[in-house]
Amino acid sequence: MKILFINGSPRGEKGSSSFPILKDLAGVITEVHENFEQNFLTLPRSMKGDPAPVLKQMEEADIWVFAMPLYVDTLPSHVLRWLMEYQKSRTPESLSRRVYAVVNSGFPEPEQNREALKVLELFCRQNGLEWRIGIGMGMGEPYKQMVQVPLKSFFKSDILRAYEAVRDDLNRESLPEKPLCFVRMRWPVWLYRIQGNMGWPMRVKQNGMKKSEIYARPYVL
Amino acid sequence: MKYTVIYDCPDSQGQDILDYLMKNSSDKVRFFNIADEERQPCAGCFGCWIKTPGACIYKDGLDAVQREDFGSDRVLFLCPVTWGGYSPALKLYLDRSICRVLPFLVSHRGETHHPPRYEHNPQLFLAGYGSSLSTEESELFKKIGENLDDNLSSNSLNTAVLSVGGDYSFLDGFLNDAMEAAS
Ligand SMILES: Cc1cc2nc3c(=O)[nH]c(=O)nc-3n(C[C@H](O)[C@H](O)[C@H](O)COP(=O)(O)O)c2cc1C
Repeated sequence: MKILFINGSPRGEKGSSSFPILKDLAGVITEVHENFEQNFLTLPRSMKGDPAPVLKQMEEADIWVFAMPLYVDTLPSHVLRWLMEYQKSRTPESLSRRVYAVVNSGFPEPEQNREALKVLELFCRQNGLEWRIGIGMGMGEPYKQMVQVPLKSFFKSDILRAYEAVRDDLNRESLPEKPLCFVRMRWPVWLYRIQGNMGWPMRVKQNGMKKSEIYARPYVL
Repeated sequence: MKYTVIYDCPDSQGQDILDYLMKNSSDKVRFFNIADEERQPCAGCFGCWIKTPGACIYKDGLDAVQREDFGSDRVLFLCPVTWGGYSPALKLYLDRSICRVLPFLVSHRGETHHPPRYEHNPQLFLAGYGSSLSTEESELFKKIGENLDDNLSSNSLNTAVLSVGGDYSFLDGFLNDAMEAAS
Protein backbone atom coordinates (compact mmCIF):
# COMPACT_ATOMS: atom_id res chain seq x y z
CA MET A 1 0.00 0.00 0.00
CA LYS A 2 1.23 3.45 -0.94
CA ILE A 3 0.04 6.34 1.20
CA LEU A 4 0.46 9.85 -0.10
CA PHE A 5 0.42 12.59 2.53
CA ILE A 6 -0.70 15.76 0.76
CA ASN A 7 0.13 19.10 2.32
CA GLY A 8 -2.31 21.82 1.29
CA SER A 9 -0.74 24.70 3.19
CA PRO A 10 0.30 27.66 1.02
CA ARG A 11 3.20 28.04 3.45
CA GLY A 12 4.49 24.64 2.32
CA GLU A 13 6.66 22.69 4.72
CA LYS A 14 7.40 25.83 6.74
CA GLY A 15 3.75 26.13 7.76
CA SER A 16 2.77 26.03 11.38
CA SER A 17 0.36 23.13 11.30
CA SER A 18 -0.48 21.12 8.18
CA PHE A 19 3.00 19.70 7.64
CA PRO A 20 3.71 18.80 11.31
CA ILE A 21 0.20 17.31 11.50
CA LEU A 22 1.03 15.02 8.56
CA LYS A 23 4.33 14.03 10.18
CA ASP A 24 2.59 13.12 13.43
CA LEU A 25 -0.13 11.22 11.59
CA ALA A 26 2.45 9.34 9.53
CA GLY A 27 4.21 8.35 12.77
CA VAL A 28 0.99 6.99 14.29
CA ILE A 29 0.22 5.05 11.09
CA THR A 30 3.70 3.49 11.01
CA GLU A 31 3.14 1.99 14.47
CA VAL A 32 0.67 -0.45 12.93
CA HIS A 33 1.28 -0.40 9.18
CA GLU A 34 5.06 -0.47 9.09
CA ASN A 35 5.22 -1.95 5.59
CA PHE A 36 3.08 0.76 3.98
CA GLU A 37 5.09 3.01 1.68
CA GLN A 38 4.79 6.64 2.79
CA ASN A 39 5.34 9.61 0.48
CA PHE A 40 4.85 13.34 0.98
CA LEU A 41 3.63 15.90 -1.51
CA THR A 42 3.27 19.64 -0.97
CA LEU A 43 0.81 21.07 -3.48
CA PRO A 44 2.60 23.94 -5.26
CA ARG A 45 0.97 27.29 -4.58
CA SER A 46 1.66 28.51 -8.08
CA MET A 47 0.00 26.78 -11.03
CA LYS A 48 2.61 28.08 -13.47
CA GLY A 49 4.65 24.88 -13.62
CA ASP A 50 3.79 21.61 -15.38
CA PRO A 51 0.98 19.93 -13.39
CA ALA A 52 1.80 16.46 -14.74
CA PRO A 53 4.36 15.35 -12.09
CA VAL A 54 2.02 16.35 -9.25
CA LEU A 55 -0.96 14.56 -10.82
CA LYS A 56 1.19 11.49 -11.52
CA GLN A 57 2.25 11.28 -7.89
CA MET A 58 -1.38 11.57 -6.83
CA GLU A 59 -2.52 8.96 -9.34
CA GLU A 60 0.09 6.45 -8.19
CA ALA A 61 -0.99 6.42 -4.55
CA ASP A 62 -3.47 3.93 -3.05
CA ILE A 63 -4.51 6.25 -0.23
CA TRP A 64 -4.53 10.03 0.10
CA VAL A 65 -4.21 11.77 3.45
CA PHE A 66 -4.64 15.53 3.19
CA ALA A 67 -3.81 18.17 5.76
CA MET A 68 -4.58 21.80 5.04
CA PRO A 69 -5.48 25.03 6.82
CA LEU A 70 -8.99 26.42 6.89
CA TYR A 71 -9.08 29.55 4.73
CA VAL A 72 -12.17 31.78 4.93
CA ASP A 73 -14.24 28.81 6.08
CA THR A 74 -13.30 26.46 3.25
CA LEU A 75 -10.24 25.18 1.38
CA PRO A 76 -7.32 27.42 0.33
CA SER A 77 -7.75 28.53 -3.29
CA HIS A 78 -4.69 26.71 -4.60
CA VAL A 79 -6.02 23.42 -3.18
CA LEU A 80 -9.29 24.00 -5.07
CA ARG A 81 -7.30 24.59 -8.24
CA TRP A 82 -5.37 21.35 -7.78
CA LEU A 83 -8.56 19.41 -7.13
CA MET A 84 -9.91 20.92 -10.34
CA GLU A 85 -6.77 19.88 -12.22
CA TYR A 86 -7.23 16.36 -10.89
CA GLN A 87 -10.90 16.32 -11.88
CA LYS A 88 -10.01 17.43 -15.42
CA SER A 89 -7.28 14.82 -15.72
CA ARG A 90 -9.44 11.88 -14.64
CA THR A 91 -10.26 9.19 -17.18
CA PRO A 92 -12.54 6.16 -16.85
CA GLU A 93 -9.39 4.18 -16.02
CA SER A 94 -8.49 6.41 -13.06
CA LEU A 95 -8.31 4.48 -9.82
CA SER A 96 -10.57 4.87 -6.87
CA ARG A 97 -8.79 5.26 -3.57
CA ARG A 98 -9.50 6.04 0.04
CA VAL A 99 -9.28 9.67 1.08
CA TYR A 100 -8.70 11.07 4.57
CA ALA A 101 -8.29 14.72 5.53
CA VAL A 102 -7.37 16.97 8.42
CA VAL A 103 -8.49 20.58 8.08
CA ASN A 104 -7.13 22.81 10.84
CA SER A 105 -8.20 26.29 11.76
CA GLY A 106 -6.72 29.24 13.56
CA PHE A 107 -9.97 29.63 15.48
CA PRO A 108 -10.30 27.30 18.47
CA GLU A 109 -13.66 25.70 17.62
CA PRO A 110 -12.98 22.51 15.62
CA GLU A 111 -16.52 22.53 14.18
CA GLN A 112 -15.65 25.58 12.10
CA ASN A 113 -13.91 23.11 9.76
CA ARG A 114 -17.09 21.15 9.07
CA GLU A 115 -18.02 22.75 5.74
CA ALA A 116 -14.45 22.50 4.40
CA LEU A 117 -14.54 18.76 5.08
CA LYS A 118 -17.91 18.55 3.37
CA VAL A 119 -16.49 20.23 0.24
CA LEU A 120 -13.76 17.58 0.19
CA GLU A 121 -16.34 14.84 0.61
CA LEU A 122 -18.42 16.14 -2.32
CA PHE A 123 -15.27 16.42 -4.44
CA CYS A 124 -14.52 12.75 -3.67
CA ARG A 125 -18.03 11.60 -4.42
CA GLN A 126 -18.08 13.42 -7.76
CA ASN A 127 -14.76 11.90 -8.74
CA GLY A 128 -15.20 8.25 -7.84
CA LEU A 129 -13.02 8.50 -4.73
CA GLU A 130 -13.86 6.88 -1.42
CA TRP A 131 -14.20 9.53 1.29
CA ARG A 132 -13.49 7.86 4.64
CA ILE A 133 -12.67 10.12 7.60
CA GLY A 134 -12.46 13.87 8.07
CA ILE A 135 -10.79 15.47 11.08
CA GLY A 136 -11.60 19.07 11.92
CA MET A 137 -8.97 20.54 14.23
CA GLY A 138 -9.29 23.80 16.15
CA MET A 139 -6.33 25.80 17.56
CA GLY A 140 -4.22 24.70 14.61
CA GLU A 141 -1.92 27.70 14.35
CA PRO A 142 0.25 26.86 17.44
CA TYR A 143 0.59 23.16 16.42
CA LYS A 144 4.25 23.45 15.48
CA GLN A 145 5.14 25.36 18.65
CA MET A 146 3.59 22.54 20.67
CA VAL A 147 5.13 19.69 18.69
CA GLN A 148 7.38 18.70 21.59
CA VAL A 149 4.36 17.94 23.77
CA PRO A 150 3.83 14.20 23.28
CA LEU A 151 0.69 13.03 21.50
CA LYS A 152 0.13 10.69 24.43
CA SER A 153 -0.10 13.57 26.89
CA PHE A 154 -3.38 14.79 28.35
CA PHE A 155 -3.26 17.97 26.23
CA LYS A 156 -3.28 16.09 22.94
CA SER A 157 -5.26 12.99 23.86
CA ASP A 158 -8.23 13.86 21.61
CA ILE A 159 -5.95 14.56 18.68
CA LEU A 160 -4.18 11.24 19.14
CA ARG A 161 -7.50 9.41 19.23
CA ALA A 162 -8.47 10.97 15.89
CA TYR A 163 -5.14 9.97 14.31
CA GLU A 164 -5.63 6.43 15.62
CA ALA A 165 -9.09 6.34 14.08
CA VAL A 166 -7.52 7.05 10.68
CA ARG A 167 -4.80 4.47 11.28
CA ASP A 168 -7.30 1.77 12.23
CA ASP A 169 -9.53 2.56 9.26
CA LEU A 170 -6.90 2.23 6.53
CA ASN A 171 -7.60 -1.45 5.88
CA ARG A 172 -11.00 -1.82 7.50
CA GLU A 173 -13.57 -3.50 5.27
CA SER A 174 -16.68 -1.95 6.79
CA LEU A 175 -17.67 1.71 6.81
CA PRO A 176 -15.76 3.94 9.27
CA GLU A 177 -17.16 3.95 12.77
CA LYS A 178 -16.93 7.73 13.01
CA PRO A 179 -16.55 9.52 9.66
CA LEU A 180 -16.05 12.94 11.31
CA CYS A 181 -13.88 13.86 14.31
CA PHE A 182 -13.66 17.35 15.76
CA VAL A 183 -10.70 17.83 18.05
CA ARG A 184 -8.28 20.36 19.51
CA MET A 185 -5.64 20.61 22.14
CA ARG A 186 -7.06 20.61 25.64
CA TRP A 187 -6.49 24.26 26.28
CA PRO A 188 -8.98 26.90 27.45
CA VAL A 189 -10.52 28.95 24.65
CA TRP A 190 -10.44 32.15 26.72
CA LEU A 191 -6.71 31.77 27.29
CA TYR A 192 -6.08 30.98 23.64
CA ARG A 193 -7.90 34.16 22.65
CA ILE A 194 -5.91 36.28 25.10
CA GLN A 195 -2.64 34.79 23.85
CA GLY A 196 -3.64 35.40 20.24
CA ASN A 197 -4.72 38.96 20.92
CA MET A 198 -1.46 39.85 22.67
CA GLY A 199 0.68 38.44 19.89
CA TRP A 200 -0.53 40.45 16.88
CA PRO A 201 0.39 44.01 18.01
CA MET A 202 3.82 42.71 19.05
CA ARG A 203 4.40 41.40 15.56
CA VAL A 204 3.42 44.76 14.06
CA LYS A 205 5.97 46.42 16.34
CA GLN A 206 8.64 43.92 15.34
CA ASN A 207 8.05 45.04 11.75
CA GLY A 208 9.08 48.58 12.69
CA MET A 209 5.63 50.11 13.08
CA LYS A 210 3.66 51.52 15.97
CA LYS A 211 1.31 48.97 17.51
CA SER A 212 -1.66 51.20 16.66
CA GLU A 213 -0.89 50.88 12.95
CA ILE A 214 -2.48 47.44 13.12
CA TYR A 215 -5.78 49.35 12.72
CA ALA A 216 -4.74 51.04 9.45
CA ARG A 217 -7.53 51.63 6.92
CA PRO A 218 -5.74 52.05 3.60
CA TYR A 219 -8.89 51.71 1.52
CA VAL A 220 -11.05 54.23 3.29
CA LEU A 221 -12.11 56.82 0.77
CA MET B 1 -25.55 53.99 -3.20
CA LYS B 2 -22.50 52.27 -4.64
CA TYR B 3 -22.90 48.74 -6.02
CA THR B 4 -20.15 46.29 -6.94
CA VAL B 5 -20.34 42.91 -8.65
CA ILE B 6 -17.30 40.67 -8.26
CA TYR B 7 -17.60 37.67 -10.53
CA ASP B 8 -15.97 34.55 -11.83
CA CYS B 9 -18.13 33.33 -14.71
CA PRO B 10 -15.99 30.94 -16.73
CA ASP B 11 -18.88 29.33 -18.65
CA SER B 12 -21.98 30.19 -20.70
CA GLN B 13 -24.30 29.80 -17.70
CA GLY B 14 -22.31 32.40 -15.81
CA GLN B 15 -22.31 34.66 -18.84
CA ASP B 16 -26.09 34.39 -19.03
CA ILE B 17 -26.44 35.56 -15.43
CA LEU B 18 -23.90 38.30 -15.98
CA ASP B 19 -25.74 39.51 -19.09
CA TYR B 20 -28.94 39.70 -17.06
CA LEU B 21 -27.21 41.76 -14.38
CA MET B 22 -25.58 44.09 -16.86
CA LYS B 23 -28.78 44.60 -18.81
CA ASN B 24 -30.75 45.46 -15.69
CA SER B 25 -28.25 47.64 -13.88
CA SER B 26 -27.55 51.32 -14.10
CA ASP B 27 -24.14 52.95 -14.32
CA LYS B 28 -23.85 52.99 -10.52
CA VAL B 29 -23.05 49.26 -10.63
CA ARG B 30 -19.40 48.39 -11.20
CA PHE B 31 -18.33 44.97 -12.47
CA PHE B 32 -15.03 43.21 -11.77
CA ASN B 33 -13.98 39.96 -13.37
CA ILE B 34 -11.58 38.28 -10.97
CA ALA B 35 -10.88 35.18 -13.07
CA ASP B 36 -7.19 35.58 -13.79
CA GLU B 37 -5.11 32.41 -13.68
CA GLU B 38 -1.91 34.42 -13.35
CA ARG B 39 -2.71 35.88 -9.93
CA GLN B 40 -0.86 34.65 -6.87
CA PRO B 41 -2.92 32.70 -4.36
CA CYS B 42 -2.65 33.88 -0.74
CA ALA B 43 0.76 32.95 0.68
CA GLY B 44 -0.53 32.67 4.25
CA CYS B 45 2.06 35.24 5.36
CA PHE B 46 -0.35 37.44 7.37
CA GLY B 47 1.52 40.41 5.84
CA CYS B 48 -1.89 42.09 5.35
CA TRP B 49 -2.23 42.20 9.15
CA ILE B 50 1.32 42.85 10.32
CA LYS B 51 3.52 44.20 7.46
CA THR B 52 1.19 46.38 5.42
CA PRO B 53 -1.87 46.35 7.68
CA GLY B 54 -5.08 46.44 5.67
CA ALA B 55 -3.52 45.59 2.29
CA CYS B 56 -2.27 42.39 0.68
CA ILE B 57 1.46 42.31 -0.01
CA TYR B 58 0.84 41.41 -3.67
CA LYS B 59 0.06 44.25 -6.03
CA ASP B 60 -1.49 42.59 -9.04
CA GLY B 61 -4.73 44.46 -9.54
CA LEU B 62 -6.82 42.97 -6.73
CA ASP B 63 -6.07 46.01 -4.57
CA ALA B 64 -8.14 48.12 -6.96
CA VAL B 65 -11.04 45.67 -6.68
CA GLN B 66 -10.77 45.66 -2.88
CA ARG B 67 -10.86 49.45 -2.76
CA GLU B 68 -14.22 49.36 -4.59
CA ASP B 69 -15.48 46.35 -2.67
CA PHE B 70 -14.74 47.67 0.83
CA GLY B 71 -16.12 51.12 0.00
CA SER B 72 -19.39 49.86 -1.52
CA ASP B 73 -22.86 49.84 -0.05
CA ARG B 74 -23.68 46.54 -1.69
CA VAL B 75 -21.45 43.83 -3.07
CA LEU B 76 -22.48 40.74 -5.01
CA PHE B 77 -20.10 37.78 -5.35
CA LEU B 78 -20.96 35.45 -8.23
CA CYS B 79 -19.37 32.11 -9.15
CA PRO B 80 -20.18 28.55 -10.20
CA VAL B 81 -20.96 26.32 -7.20
CA THR B 82 -17.92 24.06 -6.94
CA TRP B 83 -18.36 20.89 -4.83
CA GLY B 84 -20.80 22.93 -2.78
CA GLY B 85 -18.35 25.81 -2.28
CA TYR B 86 -16.73 28.74 -4.05
CA SER B 87 -14.97 28.50 -7.39
CA PRO B 88 -11.14 28.62 -7.17
CA ALA B 89 -10.94 32.16 -8.60
CA LEU B 90 -13.51 33.67 -6.23
CA LYS B 91 -11.81 31.81 -3.39
CA LEU B 92 -8.47 33.34 -4.34
CA TYR B 93 -10.06 36.78 -4.07
CA LEU B 94 -11.64 36.01 -0.69
CA ASP B 95 -8.41 34.53 0.72
CA ARG B 96 -6.50 37.60 -0.39
CA SER B 97 -9.14 39.84 1.23
CA ILE B 98 -8.77 38.91 4.90
CA CYS B 99 -7.31 42.41 5.25
CA ARG B 100 -10.94 43.52 5.59
CA VAL B 101 -10.91 42.18 9.14
CA LEU B 102 -8.53 42.72 12.06
CA PRO B 103 -6.43 39.84 13.44
CA PHE B 104 -7.97 39.94 16.92
CA LEU B 105 -10.07 37.07 18.22
CA VAL B 106 -13.49 38.04 19.49
CA SER B 107 -16.69 36.22 20.31
CA HIS B 108 -19.43 36.43 17.70
CA ARG B 109 -22.61 34.35 18.01
CA GLY B 110 -20.86 31.97 20.37
CA GLU B 111 -17.83 31.32 18.14
CA THR B 112 -14.45 32.94 17.73
CA HIS B 113 -14.20 35.40 14.82
CA HIS B 114 -12.32 38.52 13.75
CA PRO B 115 -13.72 42.04 14.18
CA PRO B 116 -14.16 44.17 11.03
CA ARG B 117 -11.43 46.68 10.13
CA TYR B 118 -13.76 49.34 8.74
CA GLU B 119 -16.69 51.07 10.34
CA HIS B 120 -18.75 50.93 7.20
CA ASN B 121 -19.15 47.47 5.69
CA PRO B 122 -21.07 46.67 2.54
CA GLN B 123 -24.20 44.60 2.54
CA LEU B 124 -23.10 41.31 1.00
CA PHE B 125 -24.81 39.08 -1.53
CA LEU B 126 -23.48 35.72 -2.62
CA ALA B 127 -24.83 33.93 -5.68
CA GLY B 128 -23.68 30.52 -6.84
CA TYR B 129 -24.95 28.94 -10.01
CA GLY B 130 -24.94 25.58 -11.71
CA SER B 131 -27.10 23.12 -13.55
CA SER B 132 -28.26 19.87 -11.95
CA LEU B 133 -26.81 20.72 -8.54
CA SER B 134 -27.82 18.30 -5.80
CA THR B 135 -29.77 19.55 -2.81
CA GLU B 136 -26.72 18.71 -0.71
CA GLU B 137 -24.50 20.96 -2.84
CA SER B 138 -26.97 23.85 -2.76
CA GLU B 139 -27.45 23.51 1.00
CA LEU B 140 -23.70 23.45 1.57
CA PHE B 141 -23.26 26.57 -0.53
CA LYS B 142 -25.88 28.40 1.53
CA LYS B 143 -24.22 27.29 4.76
CA ILE B 144 -20.88 28.55 3.46
CA GLY B 145 -22.61 31.86 2.75
CA GLU B 146 -23.80 32.00 6.36
CA ASN B 147 -20.26 31.32 7.51
CA LEU B 148 -18.94 34.17 5.38
CA ASP B 149 -21.46 36.42 7.04
CA ASP B 150 -20.18 35.39 10.47
CA ASN B 151 -16.59 35.71 9.34
CA LEU B 152 -17.06 39.25 8.04
CA SER B 153 -19.59 40.20 10.74
CA SER B 154 -21.63 41.73 7.98
CA ASN B 155 -24.90 40.60 9.58
CA SER B 156 -26.54 41.01 6.26
CA LEU B 157 -25.39 38.40 3.81
CA ASN B 158 -27.93 37.05 1.40
CA THR B 159 -27.04 33.81 -0.34
CA ALA B 160 -28.76 32.10 -3.25
CA VAL B 161 -28.12 29.28 -5.65
CA LEU B 162 -29.31 30.13 -9.16
CA SER B 163 -30.03 27.90 -12.08
CA VAL B 164 -29.68 29.37 -15.51
CA GLY B 165 -32.89 30.58 -17.07
CA GLY B 166 -34.54 30.11 -13.66
CA ASP B 167 -35.71 32.61 -11.12
CA TYR B 168 -33.44 35.66 -11.00
CA SER B 169 -35.43 37.59 -8.40
CA PHE B 170 -32.39 37.36 -6.09
CA LEU B 171 -30.46 39.47 -8.60
CA ASP B 172 -33.34 41.94 -8.82
CA GLY B 173 -33.17 42.12 -5.02
CA PHE B 174 -29.52 43.02 -5.19
CA LEU B 175 -30.14 45.71 -7.78
CA ASN B 176 -33.22 47.06 -6.09
CA ASP B 177 -33.09 49.69 -3.37
CA ALA B 178 -36.61 48.79 -2.36
CA MET B 179 -35.43 45.53 -0.85
CA GLU B 180 -33.36 47.34 1.71
CA ALA B 181 -36.21 49.63 2.58
CA ALA B 182 -38.49 46.63 3.07
CA SER B 183 -36.14 44.72 5.37
C1 LIG C 1 -6.20 33.81 4.15
C2 LIG C 1 -6.41 33.10 5.44
C3 LIG C 1 -7.70 32.76 5.82
C4 LIG C 1 -7.94 32.09 7.02
N1 LIG C 1 -9.22 31.80 7.34
C5 LIG C 1 -9.47 31.16 8.53
C6 LIG C 1 -10.83 30.89 8.91
O1 LIG C 1 -11.79 31.16 8.19
N2 LIG C 1 -11.02 30.29 10.10
C7 LIG C 1 -9.98 29.94 10.93
O2 LIG C 1 -10.22 29.40 11.99
N3 LIG C 1 -8.69 30.18 10.57
C8 LIG C 1 -8.42 30.78 9.39
N4 LIG C 1 -7.12 31.04 9.03
C9 LIG C 1 -6.02 30.59 9.92
C10 LIG C 1 -5.38 29.27 9.46
O3 LIG C 1 -6.33 28.28 9.23
C11 LIG C 1 -4.39 28.78 10.50
O4 LIG C 1 -3.44 29.77 10.73
C12 LIG C 1 -3.71 27.48 10.14
O5 LIG C 1 -3.26 26.87 11.33
C13 LIG C 1 -2.52 27.62 9.19
O6 LIG C 1 -2.02 26.35 8.85
P1 LIG C 1 -0.67 26.13 7.98
O7 LIG C 1 0.47 26.70 8.76
O8 LIG C 1 -0.55 24.66 7.81
O9 LIG C 1 -0.85 26.85 6.70
C14 LIG C 1 -6.85 31.73 7.86
C15 LIG C 1 -5.54 32.07 7.48
C16 LIG C 1 -5.32 32.76 6.29
C17 LIG C 1 -3.92 33.11 5.91
